[in-house]
Amino acid sequence: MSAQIFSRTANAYLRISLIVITLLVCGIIAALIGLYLSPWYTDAGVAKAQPIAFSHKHHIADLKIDCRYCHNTVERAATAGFPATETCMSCHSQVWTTSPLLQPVRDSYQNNTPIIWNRIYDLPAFVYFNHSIHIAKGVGCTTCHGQIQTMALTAKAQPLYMGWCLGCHRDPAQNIRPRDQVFNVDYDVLSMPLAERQQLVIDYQIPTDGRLTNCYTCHR
Amino acid sequence: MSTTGHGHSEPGADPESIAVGHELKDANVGPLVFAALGLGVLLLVSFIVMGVVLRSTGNTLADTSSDLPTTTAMQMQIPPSPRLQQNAVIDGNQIIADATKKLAGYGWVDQQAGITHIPIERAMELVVERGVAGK
Amino acid sequence: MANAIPNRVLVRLVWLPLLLLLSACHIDMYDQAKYKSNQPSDFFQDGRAMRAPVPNTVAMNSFKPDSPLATGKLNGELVTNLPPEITLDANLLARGRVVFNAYCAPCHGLAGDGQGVIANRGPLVAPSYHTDRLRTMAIGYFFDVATNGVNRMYGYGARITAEDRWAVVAYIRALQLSQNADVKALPPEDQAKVEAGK
Repeated sequence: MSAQIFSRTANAYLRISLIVITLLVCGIIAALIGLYLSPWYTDAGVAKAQPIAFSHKHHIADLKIDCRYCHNTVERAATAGFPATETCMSCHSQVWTTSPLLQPVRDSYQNNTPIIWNRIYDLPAFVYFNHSIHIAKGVGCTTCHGQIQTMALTAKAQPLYMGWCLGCHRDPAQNIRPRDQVFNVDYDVLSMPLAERQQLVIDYQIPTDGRLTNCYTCHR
Repeated sequence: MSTTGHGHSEPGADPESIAVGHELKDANVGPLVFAALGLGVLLLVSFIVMGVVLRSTGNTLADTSSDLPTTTAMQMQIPPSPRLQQNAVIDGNQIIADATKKLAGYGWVDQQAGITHIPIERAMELVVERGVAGK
Repeated sequence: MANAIPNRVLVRLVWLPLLLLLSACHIDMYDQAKYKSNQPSDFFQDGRAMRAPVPNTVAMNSFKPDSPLATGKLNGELVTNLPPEITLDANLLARGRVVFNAYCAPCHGLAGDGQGVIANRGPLVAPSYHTDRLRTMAIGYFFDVATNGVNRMYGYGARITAEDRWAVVAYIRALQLSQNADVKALPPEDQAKVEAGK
Protein backbone atom coordinates (compact mmCIF):
# COMPACT_ATOMS: atom_id res chain seq x y z
CA MET A 1 0.00 0.00 0.00
CA SER A 2 1.52 3.22 -1.17
CA ALA A 3 1.26 6.45 0.85
CA GLN A 4 -1.41 8.94 -0.15
CA ILE A 5 -0.02 12.03 -1.92
CA PHE A 6 -2.88 14.26 -0.82
CA SER A 7 -4.30 14.41 2.63
CA ARG A 8 -8.03 14.11 3.29
CA THR A 9 -8.42 17.90 3.49
CA ALA A 10 -6.66 18.60 0.19
CA ASN A 11 -9.94 19.02 -1.72
CA ALA A 12 -11.25 21.54 0.80
CA TYR A 13 -8.02 23.54 0.69
CA LEU A 14 -8.14 23.60 -3.07
CA ARG A 15 -11.68 24.94 -3.17
CA ILE A 16 -10.99 27.55 -0.51
CA SER A 17 -7.85 28.74 -2.27
CA LEU A 18 -9.75 28.96 -5.56
CA ILE A 19 -12.31 31.25 -3.99
CA VAL A 20 -9.64 33.31 -2.25
CA ILE A 21 -7.60 33.74 -5.42
CA THR A 22 -10.66 34.75 -7.43
CA LEU A 23 -11.61 37.32 -4.83
CA LEU A 24 -8.04 38.55 -4.71
CA VAL A 25 -7.89 39.08 -8.47
CA CYS A 26 -11.22 40.90 -8.49
CA GLY A 27 -10.07 42.99 -5.55
CA ILE A 28 -6.80 43.93 -7.22
CA ILE A 29 -8.60 44.94 -10.41
CA ALA A 30 -11.13 46.98 -8.44
CA ALA A 31 -8.33 48.60 -6.46
CA LEU A 32 -6.45 49.49 -9.65
CA ILE A 33 -9.58 51.07 -11.14
CA GLY A 34 -10.13 53.00 -7.93
CA LEU A 35 -6.53 54.16 -8.00
CA TYR A 36 -6.88 55.21 -11.63
CA LEU A 37 -9.88 57.38 -10.77
CA SER A 38 -8.48 58.77 -7.54
CA PRO A 39 -6.78 62.14 -7.09
CA TRP A 40 -3.65 60.21 -6.17
CA TYR A 41 -3.36 59.33 -9.86
CA THR A 42 -5.30 62.15 -11.56
CA ASP A 43 -3.99 65.02 -9.43
CA ALA A 44 -7.50 66.48 -9.35
CA GLY A 45 -7.73 68.78 -6.36
CA VAL A 46 -4.03 68.44 -5.63
CA ALA A 47 -2.19 71.76 -5.66
CA LYS A 48 1.27 71.81 -7.20
CA ALA A 49 4.19 73.77 -5.90
CA GLN A 50 4.87 76.90 -7.95
CA PRO A 51 7.86 79.23 -8.11
CA ILE A 52 5.62 81.99 -6.75
CA ALA A 53 2.87 81.38 -4.22
CA PHE A 54 0.25 82.93 -6.49
CA SER A 55 -3.29 82.94 -5.11
CA HIS A 56 -6.13 82.91 -7.63
CA LYS A 57 -8.46 83.35 -4.68
CA HIS A 58 -6.92 86.67 -3.71
CA HIS A 59 -6.76 88.07 -7.22
CA ILE A 60 -10.27 87.00 -8.21
CA ALA A 61 -12.42 87.02 -5.07
CA ASP A 62 -10.73 89.92 -3.28
CA LEU A 63 -9.43 92.06 -6.11
CA LYS A 64 -12.15 91.31 -8.71
CA ILE A 65 -9.64 90.98 -11.53
CA ASP A 66 -11.09 89.48 -14.68
CA CYS A 67 -9.58 86.19 -15.93
CA ARG A 68 -8.61 87.91 -19.17
CA TYR A 69 -6.44 90.50 -17.48
CA CYS A 70 -3.73 87.86 -17.13
CA HIS A 71 -4.87 85.10 -19.52
CA ASN A 72 -5.34 87.60 -22.30
CA THR A 73 -5.17 85.33 -25.33
CA VAL A 74 -8.00 83.11 -24.16
CA GLU A 75 -10.57 84.74 -26.43
CA ARG A 76 -8.56 84.52 -29.63
CA ALA A 77 -6.04 81.66 -29.33
CA ALA A 78 -5.89 77.99 -28.53
CA THR A 79 -4.04 78.64 -25.31
CA ALA A 80 -5.25 80.90 -22.54
CA GLY A 81 -1.66 81.95 -22.05
CA PHE A 82 0.51 82.21 -19.02
CA PRO A 83 0.73 85.91 -18.24
CA ALA A 84 3.90 87.62 -19.33
CA THR A 85 6.03 88.94 -16.49
CA GLU A 86 5.09 92.39 -17.72
CA THR A 87 1.48 91.61 -16.81
CA CYS A 88 2.47 90.87 -13.21
CA MET A 89 4.61 93.99 -13.14
CA SER A 90 1.70 96.16 -14.35
CA CYS A 91 0.60 96.18 -10.75
CA HIS A 92 3.58 94.78 -8.87
CA SER A 93 5.91 97.50 -10.04
CA GLN A 94 3.86 99.59 -7.63
CA VAL A 95 2.19 97.19 -5.20
CA TRP A 96 4.24 94.89 -2.94
CA THR A 97 7.43 96.13 -4.59
CA THR A 98 9.68 94.84 -1.85
CA SER A 99 7.93 91.58 -1.06
CA PRO A 100 10.39 88.67 -1.01
CA LEU A 101 7.58 86.44 -2.32
CA LEU A 102 7.68 88.40 -5.57
CA GLN A 103 11.44 88.32 -5.98
CA PRO A 104 11.19 85.74 -8.82
CA VAL A 105 8.91 88.15 -10.72
CA ARG A 106 11.34 91.04 -10.39
CA ASP A 107 14.26 88.80 -11.33
CA SER A 108 12.37 87.61 -14.37
CA TYR A 109 11.58 91.17 -15.43
CA GLN A 110 15.09 92.47 -14.94
CA ASN A 111 16.94 89.52 -16.47
CA ASN A 112 14.46 88.83 -19.26
CA THR A 113 14.07 85.20 -18.18
CA PRO A 114 10.74 83.40 -18.04
CA ILE A 115 9.04 82.39 -14.82
CA ILE A 116 8.66 78.63 -15.12
CA TRP A 117 5.26 77.73 -13.73
CA ASN A 118 4.28 74.15 -13.16
CA ARG A 119 1.51 73.29 -15.56
CA ILE A 120 -1.69 72.24 -13.79
CA TYR A 121 -3.80 71.21 -16.79
CA ASP A 122 -1.36 69.11 -18.75
CA LEU A 123 -3.06 67.51 -21.72
CA PRO A 124 -1.38 64.73 -23.71
CA ALA A 125 0.44 65.96 -26.80
CA PHE A 126 -2.13 64.30 -29.06
CA VAL A 127 -5.00 66.40 -27.71
CA TYR A 128 -5.58 69.75 -29.38
CA PHE A 129 -7.71 71.77 -27.04
CA ASN A 130 -8.70 75.24 -28.13
CA HIS A 131 -9.75 77.77 -25.52
CA SER A 132 -11.12 80.40 -27.87
CA ILE A 133 -13.80 78.23 -29.46
CA HIS A 134 -15.08 77.10 -26.06
CA ILE A 135 -15.23 80.72 -24.87
CA ALA A 136 -17.01 81.77 -28.07
CA LYS A 137 -19.59 79.01 -27.69
CA GLY A 138 -20.49 79.84 -24.11
CA VAL A 139 -18.46 77.40 -22.05
CA GLY A 140 -17.43 79.18 -18.87
CA CYS A 141 -14.01 79.12 -17.25
CA THR A 142 -15.30 77.45 -14.10
CA THR A 143 -16.87 74.59 -16.05
CA CYS A 144 -13.43 73.04 -16.50
CA HIS A 145 -11.30 75.00 -14.06
CA GLY A 146 -13.64 74.67 -11.09
CA GLN A 147 -14.21 77.23 -8.38
CA ILE A 148 -10.95 78.97 -9.14
CA GLN A 149 -11.94 81.95 -7.00
CA THR A 150 -11.68 79.73 -3.92
CA MET A 151 -8.24 78.28 -4.72
CA ALA A 152 -5.49 79.91 -2.72
CA LEU A 153 -3.17 77.39 -4.35
CA THR A 154 -4.23 76.31 -7.79
CA ALA A 155 -5.24 72.72 -8.42
CA LYS A 156 -6.87 70.78 -11.21
CA ALA A 157 -10.62 70.66 -10.77
CA GLN A 158 -11.18 67.81 -13.22
CA PRO A 159 -9.32 64.53 -13.78
CA LEU A 160 -9.41 65.31 -17.54
CA TYR A 161 -10.46 61.86 -18.65
CA MET A 162 -11.65 61.66 -22.22
CA GLY A 163 -15.05 60.46 -21.08
CA TRP A 164 -15.51 63.76 -19.31
CA CYS A 165 -14.70 65.70 -22.48
CA LEU A 166 -17.10 63.52 -24.45
CA GLY A 167 -19.89 63.96 -21.90
CA CYS A 168 -20.07 67.63 -22.79
CA HIS A 169 -19.41 67.14 -26.50
CA ARG A 170 -22.35 64.72 -26.65
CA ASP A 171 -24.69 67.02 -24.75
CA PRO A 172 -23.39 70.61 -24.72
CA ALA A 173 -26.61 71.87 -23.16
CA GLN A 174 -25.59 70.62 -19.76
CA ASN A 175 -22.64 73.00 -19.45
CA ILE A 176 -23.50 75.97 -21.62
CA ARG A 177 -24.10 79.49 -20.37
CA PRO A 178 -24.78 82.89 -21.95
CA ARG A 179 -21.68 84.41 -23.54
CA ASP A 180 -21.69 87.41 -21.22
CA GLN A 181 -21.40 85.07 -18.23
CA VAL A 182 -18.43 83.06 -19.48
CA PHE A 183 -15.93 84.90 -17.29
CA ASN A 184 -18.26 85.21 -14.31
CA VAL A 185 -16.78 82.79 -11.79
CA ASP A 186 -19.83 82.98 -9.54
CA TYR A 187 -22.28 81.97 -12.28
CA ASP A 188 -24.13 78.70 -11.78
CA VAL A 189 -24.81 76.91 -15.05
CA LEU A 190 -27.86 75.18 -13.60
CA SER A 191 -29.45 78.53 -12.71
CA MET A 192 -30.68 78.58 -16.30
CA PRO A 193 -33.48 76.13 -17.13
CA LEU A 194 -32.54 73.24 -19.39
CA ALA A 195 -34.89 74.40 -22.15
CA GLU A 196 -33.15 77.79 -22.34
CA ARG A 197 -29.74 76.14 -22.36
CA GLN A 198 -30.85 73.94 -25.24
CA GLN A 199 -31.96 77.09 -27.02
CA LEU A 200 -28.49 78.56 -26.42
CA VAL A 201 -26.95 75.52 -28.09
CA ILE A 202 -29.07 76.31 -31.15
CA ASP A 203 -28.41 80.06 -30.98
CA TYR A 204 -24.66 79.58 -30.71
CA GLN A 205 -24.77 77.11 -33.62
CA ILE A 206 -23.11 74.30 -31.71
CA PRO A 207 -23.29 71.21 -33.92
CA THR A 208 -25.31 68.43 -32.37
CA ASP A 209 -25.15 66.10 -35.38
CA GLY A 210 -22.30 64.08 -33.86
CA ARG A 211 -19.49 66.11 -35.39
CA LEU A 212 -18.30 67.10 -31.92
CA THR A 213 -17.61 63.50 -31.01
CA ASN A 214 -15.56 62.72 -34.10
CA CYS A 215 -12.01 61.71 -33.25
CA TYR A 216 -10.49 64.47 -35.34
CA THR A 217 -12.36 67.13 -33.38
CA CYS A 218 -9.70 66.83 -30.70
CA HIS A 219 -7.07 64.50 -32.17
CA ARG A 220 -5.19 65.41 -35.33
CA MET B 1 -8.03 46.08 52.26
CA SER B 2 -5.71 47.76 54.69
CA THR B 3 -8.42 48.00 57.37
CA THR B 4 -8.21 44.32 58.13
CA GLY B 5 -4.47 44.47 58.86
CA HIS B 6 -2.81 47.00 61.15
CA GLY B 7 -5.68 49.32 62.08
CA HIS B 8 -4.86 51.90 59.39
CA SER B 9 -8.50 52.77 58.94
CA GLU B 10 -9.69 54.94 56.07
CA PRO B 11 -9.90 58.51 57.33
CA GLY B 12 -13.41 59.38 58.48
CA ALA B 13 -14.76 55.86 58.38
CA ASP B 14 -15.11 54.05 61.67
CA PRO B 15 -14.48 50.31 61.91
CA GLU B 16 -18.10 49.59 62.81
CA SER B 17 -19.43 51.13 59.59
CA ILE B 18 -16.84 49.30 57.57
CA ALA B 19 -17.80 46.05 59.18
CA VAL B 20 -21.50 46.59 58.47
CA GLY B 21 -20.83 47.85 54.94
CA HIS B 22 -22.67 51.18 55.21
CA GLU B 23 -22.43 54.33 57.32
CA LEU B 24 -24.12 54.09 60.68
CA LYS B 25 -23.74 57.78 61.62
CA ASP B 26 -26.11 60.33 60.06
CA ALA B 27 -25.04 63.76 58.80
CA ASN B 28 -25.15 66.58 61.34
CA VAL B 29 -28.06 68.70 60.04
CA GLY B 30 -27.72 71.65 62.40
CA PRO B 31 -24.67 73.41 60.82
CA LEU B 32 -26.00 72.83 57.30
CA VAL B 33 -29.32 74.51 58.01
CA PHE B 34 -27.51 77.31 59.81
CA ALA B 35 -25.22 77.90 56.82
CA ALA B 36 -28.14 77.94 54.38
CA LEU B 37 -30.11 80.40 56.52
CA GLY B 38 -27.00 82.53 56.89
CA LEU B 39 -26.58 82.70 53.09
CA GLY B 40 -30.20 83.78 52.67
CA VAL B 41 -29.83 86.48 55.31
CA LEU B 42 -26.58 87.69 53.72
CA LEU B 43 -28.33 87.96 50.33
CA LEU B 44 -31.17 89.99 51.82
CA VAL B 45 -28.76 92.27 53.69
CA SER B 46 -26.71 92.90 50.53
CA PHE B 47 -29.86 93.79 48.54
CA ILE B 48 -30.84 96.22 51.26
CA VAL B 49 -27.34 97.76 51.34
CA MET B 50 -27.27 98.08 47.55
CA GLY B 51 -30.70 99.69 47.58
CA VAL B 52 -29.61 102.15 50.25
CA VAL B 53 -26.39 103.01 48.38
CA LEU B 54 -28.15 103.49 45.03
CA ARG B 55 -30.86 105.60 46.66
CA SER B 56 -28.39 107.75 48.54
CA THR B 57 -26.39 108.49 45.33
CA GLY B 58 -29.55 109.25 43.36
CA ASN B 59 -28.91 106.65 40.64
CA THR B 60 -30.99 103.77 39.37
CA LEU B 61 -29.82 100.44 38.01
CA ALA B 62 -31.05 101.32 34.55
CA ASP B 63 -29.07 104.52 34.43
CA THR B 64 -26.57 104.58 31.53
CA SER B 65 -25.50 108.19 31.75
CA SER B 66 -21.94 107.30 32.63
CA ASP B 67 -21.55 104.87 29.67
CA LEU B 68 -19.39 105.90 26.71
CA PRO B 69 -21.36 106.76 23.57
CA THR B 70 -21.28 103.94 21.05
CA THR B 71 -19.23 105.82 18.47
CA THR B 72 -16.58 106.76 21.02
CA ALA B 73 -16.43 103.21 22.27
CA MET B 74 -16.03 102.03 18.67
CA GLN B 75 -13.24 104.48 18.05
CA MET B 76 -11.46 103.32 21.17
CA GLN B 77 -11.59 99.72 19.95
CA ILE B 78 -10.61 100.37 16.32
CA PRO B 79 -7.17 101.90 15.91
CA PRO B 80 -6.90 105.01 13.73
CA SER B 81 -6.59 104.60 9.96
CA PRO B 82 -4.86 103.52 7.81
CA ARG B 83 -5.83 100.12 9.10
CA LEU B 84 -5.22 96.61 7.90
CA GLN B 85 -7.95 95.45 5.60
CA GLN B 86 -10.44 93.38 7.56
CA ASN B 87 -12.27 91.69 4.72
CA ALA B 88 -11.04 92.25 1.21
CA VAL B 89 -14.05 90.55 -0.36
CA ILE B 90 -16.53 92.90 1.31
CA ASP B 91 -14.44 95.96 0.43
CA GLY B 92 -14.14 94.81 -3.17
CA ASN B 93 -17.85 94.12 -3.45
CA GLN B 94 -18.57 97.55 -2.02
CA ILE B 95 -16.36 99.28 -4.59
CA ILE B 96 -17.99 97.36 -7.42
CA ALA B 97 -21.46 98.14 -6.08
CA ASP B 98 -20.66 101.86 -5.72
CA ALA B 99 -19.31 102.09 -9.26
CA THR B 100 -22.26 100.16 -10.68
CA LYS B 101 -24.63 102.52 -8.91
CA LYS B 102 -22.80 105.51 -10.36
CA LEU B 103 -23.38 104.19 -13.85
CA ALA B 104 -27.11 103.64 -13.36
CA GLY B 105 -29.93 106.15 -13.32
CA TYR B 106 -30.37 109.82 -14.01
CA GLY B 107 -29.54 112.62 -11.63
CA TRP B 108 -27.92 115.97 -11.14
CA VAL B 109 -24.20 116.38 -10.78
CA ASP B 110 -24.36 120.16 -10.69
CA GLN B 111 -27.84 121.57 -11.18
CA GLN B 112 -26.58 125.18 -11.35
CA ALA B 113 -24.30 124.39 -14.27
CA GLY B 114 -26.81 122.02 -15.86
CA ILE B 115 -24.55 118.98 -15.52
CA THR B 116 -26.22 115.61 -15.07
CA HIS B 117 -25.29 111.98 -14.96
CA ILE B 118 -27.13 109.51 -17.16
CA PRO B 119 -27.13 105.69 -17.32
CA ILE B 120 -24.15 104.23 -19.13
CA GLU B 121 -26.37 102.34 -21.58
CA ARG B 122 -27.98 105.61 -22.64
CA ALA B 123 -24.59 107.31 -22.83
CA MET B 124 -23.39 104.54 -25.16
CA GLU B 125 -26.37 105.17 -27.44
CA LEU B 126 -25.68 108.90 -27.43
CA VAL B 127 -21.99 108.38 -28.20
CA VAL B 128 -22.98 106.33 -31.25
CA GLU B 129 -25.05 109.34 -32.39
CA ARG B 130 -22.59 112.05 -31.46
CA GLY B 131 -19.23 110.43 -32.22
CA VAL B 132 -16.13 110.24 -30.12
CA ALA B 133 -14.65 113.67 -30.70
CA GLY B 134 -15.24 114.63 -27.07
CA LYS B 135 -16.53 117.94 -25.79
CA MET C 1 -9.98 12.26 -7.90
CA ALA C 2 -11.26 12.70 -11.44
CA ASN C 3 -12.60 16.27 -10.85
CA ALA C 4 -9.44 17.33 -9.04
CA ILE C 5 -7.45 17.52 -12.26
CA PRO C 6 -9.33 20.41 -13.97
CA ASN C 7 -9.34 22.22 -10.61
CA ARG C 8 -5.60 21.95 -10.39
CA VAL C 9 -5.22 23.36 -13.88
CA LEU C 10 -7.53 26.21 -12.94
CA VAL C 11 -5.49 27.01 -9.88
CA ARG C 12 -2.43 27.39 -12.04
CA LEU C 13 -4.20 29.59 -14.61
CA VAL C 14 -5.79 31.84 -12.04
CA TRP C 15 -2.46 33.57 -11.40
CA LEU C 16 -2.08 34.61 -15.02
CA PRO C 17 -4.10 37.89 -14.83
CA LEU C 18 -1.66 39.08 -12.18
CA LEU C 19 0.93 39.25 -14.95
CA LEU C 20 -0.93 42.36 -16.10
CA LEU C 21 0.67 44.11 -13.17
CA LEU C 22 4.03 43.63 -14.82
CA SER C 23 3.02 45.60 -17.89
CA ALA C 24 4.04 49.24 -18.23
CA CYS C 25 2.44 52.24 -19.88
CA HIS C 26 3.92 54.01 -22.83
CA ILE C 27 4.12 57.76 -22.42
CA ASP C 28 5.83 58.51 -25.70
CA MET C 29 2.48 59.47 -27.22
CA TYR C 30 1.65 61.68 -24.25
CA ASP C 31 4.92 63.55 -24.40
CA GLN C 32 5.77 63.77 -28.06
CA ALA C 33 8.96 65.23 -29.44
CA LYS C 34 7.32 68.50 -30.37
CA TYR C 35 6.62 71.81 -28.70
CA LYS C 36 3.27 73.25 -27.84
CA SER C 37 2.86 76.78 -26.54
CA ASN C 38 4.44 77.76 -23.24
CA GLN C 39 6.52 74.62 -23.03
CA PRO C 40 10.06 74.69 -21.73
CA SER C 41 12.82 73.67 -24.11
CA ASP C 42 16.21 72.13 -23.54
CA PHE C 43 17.17 72.85 -27.13
CA PHE C 44 17.16 76.63 -27.01
CA GLN C 45 19.63 78.27 -24.72
CA ASP C 46 17.16 80.47 -22.89
CA GLY C 47 14.91 77.49 -22.13
CA ARG C 48 11.90 78.82 -24.04
CA ALA C 49 10.10 76.90 -26.76
CA MET C 50 8.22 80.05 -27.73
CA ARG C 51 10.79 82.28 -29.39
CA ALA C 52 11.09 85.97 -28.75
CA PRO C 53 11.70 88.09 -31.87
CA VAL C 54 15.31 88.56 -32.80
CA PRO C 55 16.53 91.94 -31.47
CA ASN C 56 15.78 94.90 -33.73
CA THR C 57 13.21 93.00 -35.75
CA VAL C 58 9.42 93.00 -35.81
CA ALA C 59 6.92 90.42 -36.97
CA MET C 60 5.64 90.93 -40.49
CA ASN C 61 2.66 93.29 -40.73
CA SER C 62 2.94 94.21 -37.06
CA PHE C 63 4.92 97.44 -37.49
CA LYS C 64 2.76 100.16 -38.93
CA PRO C 65 4.05 103.49 -37.68
CA ASP C 66 1.93 105.39 -40.21
CA SER C 67 -1.37 103.65 -39.48
CA PRO C 68 -3.84 105.46 -37.22
CA LEU C 69 -5.34 102.05 -36.43
CA ALA C 70 -2.10 100.88 -34.84
CA THR C 71 -0.82 104.12 -33.34
CA GLY C 72 -3.73 106.48 -32.80
CA LYS C 73 -1.76 109.12 -34.70
CA LEU C 74 -1.98 110.50 -38.21
CA ASN C 75 1.09 112.34 -39.50
CA GLY C 76 2.35 112.57 -35.93
CA GLU C 77 -0.84 114.23 -34.66
CA LEU C 78 -3.26 112.46 -32.31
CA VAL C 79 -6.40 111.54 -34.20
CA THR C 80 -9.67 113.07 -33.06
CA ASN C 81 -11.85 110.39 -34.55
CA LEU C 82 -11.84 106.63 -34.94
CA PRO C 83 -9.68 105.25 -37.76
CA PRO C 84 -11.60 104.28 -40.91
CA GLU C 85 -11.23 100.56 -40.14
CA ILE C 86 -13.31 100.95 -36.97
CA THR C 87 -17.06 101.55 -37.17
CA LEU C 88 -18.69 103.34 -34.27
CA ASP C 89 -21.79 101.36 -33.40
CA ALA C 90 -23.50 99.70 -30.46
CA ASN C 91 -21.46 96.51 -30.90
CA LEU C 92 -18.20 98.41 -30.68
CA LEU C 93 -19.23 100.10 -27.45
CA ALA C 94 -20.57 96.86 -25.98
CA ARG C 95 -17.25 95.19 -26.73
CA GLY C 96 -15.46 98.22 -25.34
CA ARG C 97 -17.40 97.90 -22.12
CA VAL C 98 -16.42 94.25 -21.72
CA VAL C 99 -12.74 94.90 -22.42
CA PHE C 100 -12.68 98.03 -20.28
CA ASN C 101 -14.20 96.17 -17.33
CA ALA C 102 -11.65 93.38 -17.69
CA TYR C 103 -8.44 95.33 -18.29
CA CYS C 104 -8.95 98.92 -17.14
CA ALA C 105 -11.50 98.77 -14.34
CA PRO C 106 -9.18 97.12 -11.78
CA CYS C 107 -7.37 100.45 -11.45
CA HIS C 108 -9.55 103.06 -13.19
CA GLY C 109 -12.78 101.75 -11.69
CA LEU C 110 -15.92 100.54 -13.44
CA ALA C 111 -17.07 104.14 -13.60
CA GLY C 112 -13.71 105.46 -14.80
CA ASP C 113 -13.29 107.62 -11.72
CA GLY C 114 -9.94 106.15 -10.64
CA GLN C 115 -11.59 104.27 -7.79
CA GLY C 116 -10.84 100.72 -8.86
CA VAL C 117 -10.39 97.88 -6.42
CA ILE C 118 -6.62 97.80 -6.97
CA ALA C 119 -6.29 101.58 -6.77
CA ASN C 120 -8.16 101.43 -3.49
CA ARG C 121 -5.61 99.07 -1.96
CA GLY C 122 -2.22 100.26 -2.91
CA PRO C 123 -0.05 103.29 -3.40
CA LEU C 124 -1.28 103.26 -6.97
CA VAL C 125 -3.03 106.42 -8.16
CA ALA C 126 -5.24 106.01 -11.20
CA PRO C 127 -6.48 109.26 -12.70
CA SER C 128 -10.18 109.88 -13.23
CA TYR C 129 -11.46 110.29 -16.78
CA HIS C 130 -13.93 112.84 -15.52
CA THR C 131 -11.76 115.91 -15.79
CA ASP C 132 -12.00 118.75 -18.28
CA ARG C 133 -8.52 117.96 -19.55
CA LEU C 134 -9.45 114.41 -20.52
CA ARG C 135 -12.97 115.25 -21.70
CA THR C 136 -11.51 117.53 -24.35
CA MET C 137 -8.49 115.33 -25.09
CA ALA C 138 -8.26 113.84 -28.58
CA ILE C 139 -9.39 110.22 -28.73
CA GLY C 140 -6.01 109.22 -30.14
CA TYR C 141 -4.44 110.13 -26.81
CA PHE C 142 -6.43 107.46 -24.98
CA PHE C 143 -5.45 104.95 -27.63
CA ASP C 144 -1.80 105.93 -27.37
CA VAL C 145 -1.87 105.57 -23.57
CA ALA C 146 -3.68 102.23 -23.75
CA THR C 147 -1.09 101.01 -26.25
CA ASN C 148 2.15 102.36 -24.82
CA GLY C 149 1.30 103.31 -21.27
CA VAL C 150 1.93 106.62 -19.58
CA ASN C 151 3.72 107.59 -16.39
CA ARG C 152 3.52 104.49 -14.21
CA MET C 153 0.86 102.74 -16.27
CA TYR C 154 2.18 99.92 -18.41
CA GLY C 155 1.23 99.62 -22.06
CA TYR C 156 -1.47 97.16 -23.04
CA GLY C 157 -0.60 97.03 -26.72
CA ALA C 158 0.74 93.50 -26.35
CA ARG C 159 -2.26 92.26 -24.41
CA ILE C 160 -5.27 93.83 -26.13
CA THR C 161 -5.77 93.82 -29.87
CA ALA C 162 -5.86 97.19 -31.65
CA GLU C 163 -9.57 96.74 -32.48
CA ASP C 164 -10.39 96.09 -28.83
CA ARG C 165 -8.31 99.08 -27.74
CA TRP C 166 -10.31 101.30 -30.07
CA ALA C 167 -13.49 99.83 -28.61
CA VAL C 168 -12.22 100.68 -25.13
CA VAL C 169 -11.38 104.29 -25.95
CA ALA C 170 -14.79 104.75 -27.56
CA TYR C 171 -16.37 103.35 -24.40
CA ILE C 172 -14.34 105.81 -22.31
CA ARG C 173 -16.17 108.58 -24.17
CA ALA C 174 -19.46 106.95 -23.13
CA LEU C 175 -18.24 106.84 -19.52
CA GLN C 176 -17.33 110.51 -19.66
CA LEU C 177 -20.70 111.41 -21.11
CA SER C 178 -22.55 109.30 -18.58
CA GLN C 179 -20.98 111.16 -15.64
CA ASN C 180 -20.97 114.60 -17.19
CA ALA C 181 -23.82 115.29 -19.57
CA ASP C 182 -24.93 118.80 -20.42
CA VAL C 183 -28.65 118.76 -19.73
CA LYS C 184 -29.39 121.23 -22.53
CA ALA C 185 -27.77 118.95 -25.09
CA LEU C 186 -29.79 115.91 -24.01
CA PRO C 187 -32.90 114.77 -25.89
CA PRO C 188 -36.15 115.92 -24.25
CA GLU C 189 -37.09 112.48 -22.90
CA ASP C 190 -33.75 112.28 -21.10
CA GLN C 191 -34.21 115.77 -19.72
CA ALA C 192 -37.52 114.68 -18.28
CA LYS C 193 -35.90 111.70 -16.63
CA VAL C 194 -33.19 113.90 -15.15
CA GLU C 195 -35.86 116.19 -13.71
CA ALA C 196 -37.64 113.15 -12.30
CA GLY C 197 -34.34 112.03 -10.81
CA LYS C 198 -34.67 108.43 -11.84
